[in-house]
Parts: sequence; structure tokens; C-alpha cells
Amino acid sequence: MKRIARDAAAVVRFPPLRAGVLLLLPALALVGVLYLIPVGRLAAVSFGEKGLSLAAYAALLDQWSYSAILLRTFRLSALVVAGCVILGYPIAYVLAFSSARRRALLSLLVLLPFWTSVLVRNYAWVYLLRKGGVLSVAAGVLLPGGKPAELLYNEVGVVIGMTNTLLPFMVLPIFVAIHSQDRALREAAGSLGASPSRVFWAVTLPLSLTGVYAGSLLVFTTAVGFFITPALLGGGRVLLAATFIEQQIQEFVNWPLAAAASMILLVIVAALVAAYRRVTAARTFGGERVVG
Amino acid sequence: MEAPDRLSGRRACSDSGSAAGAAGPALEVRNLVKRFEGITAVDDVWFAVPAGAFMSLLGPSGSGKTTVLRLLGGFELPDRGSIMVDGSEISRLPPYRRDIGVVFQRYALFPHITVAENIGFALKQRRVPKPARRQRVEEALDMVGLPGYGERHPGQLSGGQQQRVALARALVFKPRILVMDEPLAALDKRLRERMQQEIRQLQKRLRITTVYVTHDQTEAFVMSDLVAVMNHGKLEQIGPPRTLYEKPQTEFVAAFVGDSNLFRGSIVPSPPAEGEMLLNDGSIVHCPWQGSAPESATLLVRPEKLRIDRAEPDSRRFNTLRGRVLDAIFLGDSIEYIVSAAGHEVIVREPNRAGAAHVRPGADVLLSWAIEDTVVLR
Amino acid sequence: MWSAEHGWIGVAFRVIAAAGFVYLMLPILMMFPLSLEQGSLLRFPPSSISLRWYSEYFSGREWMASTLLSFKVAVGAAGIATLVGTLAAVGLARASEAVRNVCSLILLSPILLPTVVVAIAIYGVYASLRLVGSPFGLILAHAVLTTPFVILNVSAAVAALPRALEEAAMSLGAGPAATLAQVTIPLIWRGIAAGAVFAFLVSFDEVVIAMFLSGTQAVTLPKRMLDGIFYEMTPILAAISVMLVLMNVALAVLGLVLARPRRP
Repeated sequence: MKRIARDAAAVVRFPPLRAGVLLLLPALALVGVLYLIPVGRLAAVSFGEKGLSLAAYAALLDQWSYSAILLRTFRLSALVVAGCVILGYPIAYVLAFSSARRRALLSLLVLLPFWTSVLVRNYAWVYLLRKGGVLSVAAGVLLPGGKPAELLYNEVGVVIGMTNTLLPFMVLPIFVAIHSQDRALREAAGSLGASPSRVFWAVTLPLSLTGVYAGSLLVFTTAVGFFITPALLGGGRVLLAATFIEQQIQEFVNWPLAAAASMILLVIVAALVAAYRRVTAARTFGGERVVG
Repeated sequence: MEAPDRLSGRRACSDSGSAAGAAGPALEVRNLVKRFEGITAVDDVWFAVPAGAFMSLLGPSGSGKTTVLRLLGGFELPDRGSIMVDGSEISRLPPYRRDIGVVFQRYALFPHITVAENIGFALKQRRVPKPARRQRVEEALDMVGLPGYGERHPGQLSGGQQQRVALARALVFKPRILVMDEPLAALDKRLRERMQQEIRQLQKRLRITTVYVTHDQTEAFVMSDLVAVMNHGKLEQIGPPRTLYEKPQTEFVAAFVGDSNLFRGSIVPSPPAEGEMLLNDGSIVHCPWQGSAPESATLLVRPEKLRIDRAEPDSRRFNTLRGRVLDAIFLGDSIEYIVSAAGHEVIVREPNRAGAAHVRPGADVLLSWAIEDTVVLR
Repeated sequence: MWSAEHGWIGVAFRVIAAAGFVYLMLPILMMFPLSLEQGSLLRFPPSSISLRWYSEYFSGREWMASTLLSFKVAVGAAGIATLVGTLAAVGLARASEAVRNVCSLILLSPILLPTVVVAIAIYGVYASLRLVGSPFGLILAHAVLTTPFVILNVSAAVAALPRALEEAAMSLGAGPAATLAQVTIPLIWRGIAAGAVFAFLVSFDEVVIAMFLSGTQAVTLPKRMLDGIFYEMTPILAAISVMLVLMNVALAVLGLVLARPRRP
């Protein structure tokens, strides 16, 4: 044990180059001046522009029922996570067990949306989901009542759009979790008499849950901060945390309130990220991008 | 704890001095200590390497030998101690001011530049003008037997060729010391043996002081003037291969360098330079001994020093034990017997030649060995 | 074959995955026919096929100005992000574990936390500095947002770089700067280039920060498109979308090819 630890310690250390830390300074300065200081200022504003007060926080929870907005945000984000797992797991599974050639082709179908501007995709959904559109009529036929379904400018539209945007974030970590499994494990289970479905429930699924967790956290934390999709597909009728914050600034110019709402959102997301640091690992897939 | 270690370290130093030859030490390490997160990887190491000598650092993985090498190269800073090259202290200098040539375990050739540029890299840093640089690179390529390979990229070379390029790169700027970290570990056995000879010949020709890290005892013995055995961060013993084999000072060295039979018991001095040792089973053997008071100790007898005899030999020159053969293993060049004697399972290696004893398992035998082949370990 | 190996679960997954692929691709593929519409309303299938909206885009002064601005901002932001992000990634690899953990958390936080918060925080500062509506302000804000992408890509390249190569360079007499310039950078340039491409892509598409910082002076292409979706649903947005999709795919493929680790 000790020997191994000592070897590992000897290997991990980088040469004693103090200059290495200097290389971090430009980036720290940039992020510090343009991110940490502004966010710090925002935090200060949330506690009142003069003196220390919790008035903004009190007002948020009282008059503006921000807690209801947060709950709605979490509920919709959870629905989006569920949708992403339901669609994303099978996609990841099929990708993982396809031949290399087929996989290259199929993964393009996941990565292409991943690289397409959120704006473009939401614009398309506005057209696709509008009342009297193909999807609306089709849904109406399937659902009781027979009338064209309302899919746009409500929560249904927002969830459809957000799930569409965030699905690739779910597929990639699950794909990695399935693909990195040792093939011999499944073969061993099969040779011991497990049916293919039994192999899935007993081996493949349990071993891929890390990917599901990572993907879920990634999707959830991104979803709670989503702005563009709720704004476009909710049409102002689905107020979520991010759209609320924007509204407070652009329409009411109520900085303390927006700042307080931001801080609450920030703390929640930071807590989730901290609770599951693996999200950073999941974010290293080449070509990840900011959405929302 | 501290004092005896220090002593053994000092003793190690003086030993290496006797093996040194005329010149003073080109490399001297004193009191070297390196800790990583509470683990002491190098623990109070002392040694000296005479100019032009080839020293191997031998030890199992995790013994601290690679860390010593990294401290020499300047890739780690010691927590304590000094490293002197030709009498000047270098332990706090960055690697690029040390003038030490390093051959890395997996060669670490730069994959983005040619072989010639790899070899010329150090000369470029030293602002050697281009024509002179080109000429010295050519010479270095000739030296390692790769003339005309300069324009290739490292990826186009075989393992052995990469090894030679790494050697040329580490030598071309005439460093004061050459250090090598298991440079042959990645090669197959035959190539490894050839490279051992080549490296040794080259080192002798250039007379460059060399520190060579390896976990392979045979390799260390084949190549080295001096071998330093390390274990758990400590330097157990340093000396010429023969001394290590014939006169190991610790059980670890005895066991790591060759096979060994160890007997435990207590020694009673019997002057002038001999002792009688009472083994744990009650038998008595003689051994070289200069102590003055009774002491518990361990005796070492190498398997090939033992003989299986039919008649009792001269007891003034030989020790004898009675035993029973448990197993006989045919090894080709020798036959190995496992003999139960004095409460131990003793290994006996008999050369495979006419006249050698051929006994079967179950036979009762006499084991004997010369008294001067008995080594006392404390 | 598939069903024998994967059972009924595998078959069910195939069906769901097929639906998932359609769901993912539908909005993107939809843009192509919609962009070819001749009239002013989105219609599928197009009533008559024309490239009218493509030419409207190229002849629209405001569209062209926004596109040019987005290019400038993306190039500027990617430039800054590539410089500071590359240095930071190399620095992170050399820092002690504690420093590495803290610094990587700070440097990556702009993409870990909600963009809308980043946007209004910067907006608050810019408003008092009169930087709203300034292309320079947008460049800096986008640099903050895109630096993490450079760091992630370059860090991956640095992690694939055997430490012994830099140690070898130093043992041969190269100081820190020479080691960086002659060994480290040449060996990780693909990661750097991939980071630069993704930084450009992210900045070019970014809309939340732009929405707050564009003002009336510096309206980027995504911001103008956003306004378009809110106020006019003409096929011109479909035409622009098609071109954006094609550009992004080309750049992303380039980025991925660059990010692929080199053969050892």
C-alpha cells in the first residue's frame, strides 16, 4: 500500500516551476474583473443599495411569489430531465452498441443539434408547435376532444423545446458510461444463463447509472437557468426563474429584486454543482456549449 | 533510529571511496531527504560516485530510486540535504542550469521534431552556431550507430533506435553527469542485453560519470562499477557488485541480490577472528567474527557455496549440517536441492557436471560449506 | 442479430432512439424547406421555391452590420480567450492540487452557473461604465464566457502530453519560456486550435449576454434574430438559420478533428 502510494506521489508532482502559477494570472484577472466582481456587486445590490437589508428577499417571497416561480422552474426542469432520460438512454444505448461506422453516422444526429444555435432550434419549434400546425393537429387527433392541441406558449411547449435543446447533454455521459463497460461482463452474465433483457437489468443498467446521474445533474442545472426557450416558447406566460430576472431588469428596472432572485438561483445551482463535482468531467466533451 | 542509519550511510560512503579509484567524487549526495504528503520517499541518503564511474541505483519499485534520480535531475527539490557535482552544490538549481544529461524511462523524445533536432536541442539552447551544431549532431548519431537517421521523426524509429537517440541527445552537450531511469525497461530481453553492453562501452569510452536506475539485479551487476541498493527510501548498501554479493550487510541486500539461505542464532566469540554460532536448533557452526561479546545474529550462506557430501569434511575449514533432501529440481546448468536442515529449508545449488552428487528426495545427506563463505548479518 | 443480443429491451430502445433522432433533427431539417419560401409567411411545403430570403439577408444593411459585428466580437473574444485560456490550462497543470482545484472552479464557473446571472451581473457594471452597446464590452464579456472552453480543450491536450517531455527539455537546458515555446505549445497546438474554434462558435451564437449588452448600438446577429422571432416571423430567419447550421457544423467538425488526440 505504502509503496504504491509513494510511487503515485512521485508521479503526480509536476516540476517545481513556480512560474506555472503566473500563467494563471491573466485568466484570473479577466474572470475576476468581469465575472467575480460583477457577481459580488450583484450580491451586494441584493442586500439593498444602501445599508444592509433583506427587503428584496422578503419582497421576492411575499409579493412576487418567487418561491412559486422557483417551484415551477424546478418542476419543469425535472420534467425535462425525465424526458431527456427517457429519450437519451435508448439513444446512448443504441450508439454504444452500434458498429463504429454506424455510430459515427448516428452520433452526428446527436452532435448536429448540439452545435446548432439554440435560437435556430427554438425558432423552428415556434413554427412546428403553433396552433393549427402539423404537430398541434396530430396531437389533437390522438388526444380526447379532437380539437387541435395547444402546444405553444404554455408549459408543454417549453418542456418540448428545452428537452430538445438539452437532450445531447444527457446522451453523451450515458453513452460514455455504457461504452466504457467491459464487454466481458455482459458476456459473462450471458454465459451464466441470463437472458439479454436480464443482462440489461443486472449489468448494463446498474453500471451506466453514473452516466445517468451526471447527465441528469448537467441537464437540471442548465435547465433551471434557461432563458431563451421559456421566453420564446412560453410566450411570456410561463414565468421561470431566468425570465423573471430578465423581466425585473428590462421592464421594472428593479435591481435589488433581480439581484436577490439571481443570488437565490446562483446558490441553488452552485450547491447542486458542488454536490456533484463530476459535472465538470461530463462537461469536457469536445464541443460542449452554452445554451439558455 | 536516526543515528544507526546515519552510520550505515557513512559506512556506505567510505565503502564507495575504496572502490573509487584515484579521482575525487564527481557526484556526492549527502543527507538527502524527500517527502511527499507525509510519505518519506527518500530517507537520509548518502553516496559518492567517483569521476568516470558507473553507479546503479538498484531497488524494488517504490524504493525511492527514481525519486533520487528526479532530485538529481532537478525535477523535484529535496526537503533536506545536498547534491554536489565536482564540489559545487546544485540541489537548488532548476533543471536547465544543472548540466546533467537525462535519459528517461520512455525516452521522452520530442515527437514534433526530427531526430537531428532532438539531438541538437541542447546545443540550440546553448546557442551553439548552426554549422557546429550540425557537425556535433552527426558525430553523436555516429557514436550511437545511427548515421543518416537525422531527418527521421522519432515515431519512425524502433524502440532500440529511440533508445540510442535518447542517449545521443543526453550526451551531445557533454554534461557533467549522465543519469538514466530504467532506460531499457521497454525493450525485449535480447535487445536489452545488447544495449547494456553498448551503453557500458560508450560510457567507458566517454568516461562520463553515470547514475543508472534499475530494478534488475543482473542488469546492475553487468553494467556497474558500483551498485547502491535502496529499500523503503533508504540506501541499504553501496559497493562493487562483488562486495554486495559476497558481503551483504543487511538481510534485504542479501535477499535482493541473489538467492540466500539465512540461519538465525547467537554468536559466541572465539578468538582470534572467528566465532561459534549456536543455531536455533542446537547445531553449532563456525563463522568469521570479530566482535567481543555474544550477540544474536543471522548467517547467510549462498546456495552455490553449499555442497552435498557423502563423507564428513575437514571440520577446521568446513561447517557441516545433517539434513534430508525434500526435493530436487533440475535447472539445466545446475541442480537445486531443497534440504531440510537445522530447522530450515535450505537451498543447495550443485553445478551439473560429472562427479556431482545426484541424490533423490528422501535421502539423508551432509551439507557443508567453507567457513569463509559464511556471512554474518546483523 | 440485434434482438438476439439485446432482447426485447434492445428492440424497444431502438424504436425510442429512432423517435429521438427524429425529434432532435426535425427542427433543424425543417429550416431548409422553410427558408426556400417565396412569400412572407412560413409555409410548409413552400408555395413556390425561391432564394428570395437569402438575398434579402445579404442585401439587408442591418443584417449585414449585425453579422459583421458578430464576427468581430467572436474573433476578438476567441482571441482573448485562446490566449488567457491556454496560459491558464498550462498553469493549472503545473499548480499544486489545492491551487488547481480552486482556480479551475473559478475559471470554469462562468459556464457552470446560469448565463442570465452572468449577463445581468456584467450588465450592472457596464451600465455604470457606459460600456453597454460597445463592441469592446461585448468582446470582453464573451471572452469570460468562452475562456472555459479553451481551458477544457487545452487541458485535455496538456493531460495527454507526457510530463517527461517538458522535463527532458529543461534537462537539456531550456528554461521555462523556451520549454513552453519549443516543446509545450508545439505539442498542444491542436488543442489550442480546437479551443479557439469552439470559443468562436459559442461567442457567435451567444444571445443572453448580447441581449443585455447590445444596447441599440451593438446588435449582434443572434440578438437581431431574437428580436425577429419576437416581432416578425418571416422566412428570412429560416434562411439565416440554414446558413448558421452549415457554418456551425463545419466549424464544429473542424474543432472535433483538431481536438482528437494525436497518435502516440
